[in-house]
Amino acid sequence: MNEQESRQLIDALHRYFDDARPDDDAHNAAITRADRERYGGQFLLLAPAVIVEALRNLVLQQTLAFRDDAAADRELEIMGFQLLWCYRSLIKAYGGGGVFTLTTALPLLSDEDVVALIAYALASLAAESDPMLGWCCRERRRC
Amino acid sequence: MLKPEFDRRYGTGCKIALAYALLRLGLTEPFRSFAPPYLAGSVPRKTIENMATSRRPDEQRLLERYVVGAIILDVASEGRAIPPNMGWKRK
Repeated sequence: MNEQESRQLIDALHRYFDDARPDDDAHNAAITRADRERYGGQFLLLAPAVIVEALRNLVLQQTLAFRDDAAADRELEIMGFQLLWCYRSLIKAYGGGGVFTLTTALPLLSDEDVVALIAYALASLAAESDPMLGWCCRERRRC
Repeated sequence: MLKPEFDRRYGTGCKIALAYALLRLGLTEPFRSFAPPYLAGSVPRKTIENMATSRRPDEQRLLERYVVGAIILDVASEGRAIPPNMGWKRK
């Protein structure tokens, strides 16, 4: 993937997190269909880096605005939770293959922030009512 | 897959997230022995340990709030939001 393609992928991820709804899997699957087909697993693997970037941008804004620490933490938690729920929804759009892609890639990832976000997203999917997703999570645990 | 990752990772937030994933997949350890000292500030360690084995939905939701809050603040602040005196380690 060249630099221009990488830029397009990052732009597509920004568009996803701008337009996604944390509680609407059908909407999120629909708006990502073309990008999932175009970018495959890369779209899923690079998404956590966009979440990290968004959180740190908010921290920068909060620092410049000098807000109350507790309120700033709460604001971060709310935004982070919404982004993580949108990411969870993206993994669901990929189905069991998404879980497989992430768990296979985990040992290869050096950024522990990215690993943490992926691990939390997988944890939130463990109780998923979709039997295929739940089964994939449990099977991958045993590997 | 997840347990070897827990063993080899260093950062506290990352290890908590991996331990929580294992907890949600049915393995109480290593979450119960590792995570409680780092979560929820003034909440007693024993309370967090009990939440880890509780099947009550309200306690599971509360534990999730503690976990996700800790992970998000750790990531957002690059580890600086977590008091070093709580023993958090940053890669």
